[in-house]
Amino acid sequence: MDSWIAEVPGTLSGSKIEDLALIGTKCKQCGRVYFPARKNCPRCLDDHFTEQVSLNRQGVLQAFSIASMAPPGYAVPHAQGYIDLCENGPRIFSLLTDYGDESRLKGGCRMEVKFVELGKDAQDRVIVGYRFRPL
Amino acid sequence: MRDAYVLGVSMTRFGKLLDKTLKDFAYETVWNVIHESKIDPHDIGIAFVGNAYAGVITGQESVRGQVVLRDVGLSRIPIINVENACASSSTAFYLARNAVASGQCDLALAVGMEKLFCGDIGKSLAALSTSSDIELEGRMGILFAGIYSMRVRAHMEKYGLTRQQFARVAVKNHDNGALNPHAQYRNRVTVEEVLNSRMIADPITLLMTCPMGDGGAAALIGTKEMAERMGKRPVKIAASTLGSFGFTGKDEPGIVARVSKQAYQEAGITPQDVQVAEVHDAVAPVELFLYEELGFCGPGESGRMIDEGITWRDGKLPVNPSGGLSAKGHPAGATGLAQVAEIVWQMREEAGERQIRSLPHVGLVENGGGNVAGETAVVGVHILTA
Repeated sequence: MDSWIAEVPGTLSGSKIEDLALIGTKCKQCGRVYFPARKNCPRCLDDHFTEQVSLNRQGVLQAFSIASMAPPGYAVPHAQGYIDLCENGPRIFSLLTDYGDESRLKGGCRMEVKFVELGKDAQDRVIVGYRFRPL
Repeated sequence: MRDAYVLGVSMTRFGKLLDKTLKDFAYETVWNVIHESKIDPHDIGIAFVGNAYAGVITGQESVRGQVVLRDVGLSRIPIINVENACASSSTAFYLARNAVASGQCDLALAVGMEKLFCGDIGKSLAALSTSSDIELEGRMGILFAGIYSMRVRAHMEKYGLTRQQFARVAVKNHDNGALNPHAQYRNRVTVEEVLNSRMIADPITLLMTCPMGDGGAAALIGTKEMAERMGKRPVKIAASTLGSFGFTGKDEPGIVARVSKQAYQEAGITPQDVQVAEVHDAVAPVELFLYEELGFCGPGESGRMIDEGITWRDGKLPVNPSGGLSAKGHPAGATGLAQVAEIVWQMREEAGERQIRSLPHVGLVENGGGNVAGETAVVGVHILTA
C-alpha cells in the first residue's frame, strides 16, 4: 500500500498496512501507558520520560453496546465497546467488527485489533482505522 | 470566603419552542428573578451566561451573553460567557457563587438557556456530538446513548440490576413531570410502556431518554442580608464544586464520587443528610449509578432504592421531584440552573402539586456535561441548606 493516514490521529504507526500497530505513549517515570499517543504524561505533568510504544494487539472487552442510532455516516445497528488491552494496557474505545451475532460479545471476552481501509482522503491517501473483533 | 445565598430562581417551560429565541428565555427568567429577589437591578455586579450549542444551532458562536443581556437591558457590568456542555449553567452558578463568596461583588446573576430543537434533528445531533473530543472519539461515531448503555450493561453484569428497575426510574420521573407545569413531558408512563418503547442502545429505550428541547433558567446570588430582606426562607449555598474528567477512564472513584465528596466536605455534611436531590438523569438508568456515586447507598444497592420507593416523591429521599431530565426536559445550557430552581422551590414550599412531603433543610444538585477520555468531561455538585 502507498501512503496512508490514520482515521484518528495518534493511534497507528507502521510503514505498510501489513505491519501496522496501535500506538500509545509510555511514561518511564510512573509507568503509565496512554492511548492515543500524546506529548506528555498527564499524571507526572512532565514530557522528559515519555516514549512512543506499540500496544498489545489483544485485549479484554470491558463493556459494549449495540447502537440503534448513530451520527450521519455510521451504519446501524453497529457495536461499540471499551477494550482493556492486555499486559495492563490502556482502555480503548472502539467500534467492534466480525462478531456475527451479538451473542459472541460478552463482557470479559478476548478481542483482537483489526485494521480496516475506509476510503481515501483528498490527497489520495488511504484512510486506515482500527476495529476490534472477538477471538 | 463569606456565605452566599440563592435569592430568586426562575425557569421557563421546557419544550420544543420554535417561536421562542434565546433572548426570550433570558428576558423572562432574568426579570423574574430580579422581581422576586426584591433588589435594584442596578446593583447586579456581574453576570455569568451559560449556553452550549448556539454556535452550531444559530451561528451565534461569540458574545452570546452580551447579545441576550442587551435584550434584558443589562450592560456595562462584566458579562462572562460560560460554555461547559450540559453543565454550562451549573458552571455559571458556581462562578456567581464564588463572585459573591469572595467579596468581589454583593449580587451576581447566573442565567442559562438553550435552543436545541431547530426542526433539523441531524443538526441537533451534530451539535450534541461536539461535547466530546471531535478529533478522537468523535471520529469513531461515539454517541451519548452508546456510552451510557455500556456503563449500564457493565453494571447489570456486576450487580444484577434489572431492566425493570431502570424502567421504574423513568416511571417515577414521568410521574413527577406530570405534576410540573414547566416540564416538557406531562404524561405518566408504565413499566411496560417504557420497556416496549423503541430500543435506542440496549437496554436503553426511548422513554428512558431525555427529550430534545428548549428553555432557560436563572438565579440571583447575593449576601445573607439580601436573602433575609427578600421575605422568603433564606437558602444558603453550603457548597458549590466543579470537577473534570480523569485520564485513564479506569479511575476509582469516578468523577461524580470525587466531586460530590468534595462538596460534602465543603458543606460539612454526609450523603445521609441530603433530603432532596436533582440529578443528571440524561438517560433514566444512570440515575441509579448516581445514587451510588453520590453515596446515597452502597455499590449495587441502587436498584433496591427505586424498588422500595425511597427516591419517589413521597419517599425518604425524593430524587428528581421536578421530573428530572428524562421528563422535565434537557435544554443543555439551562439544565443546571433549572435543577437549582427546583431545589429552592422545594425548600421554600413553592413546588405546587409536586411538593415533597416534609420541608427539606438540605438539598443537592448534580449536573454533568460532555465526555472526554472515557469519562464525563465536567461535573458540578451544589449543596443548598435552609
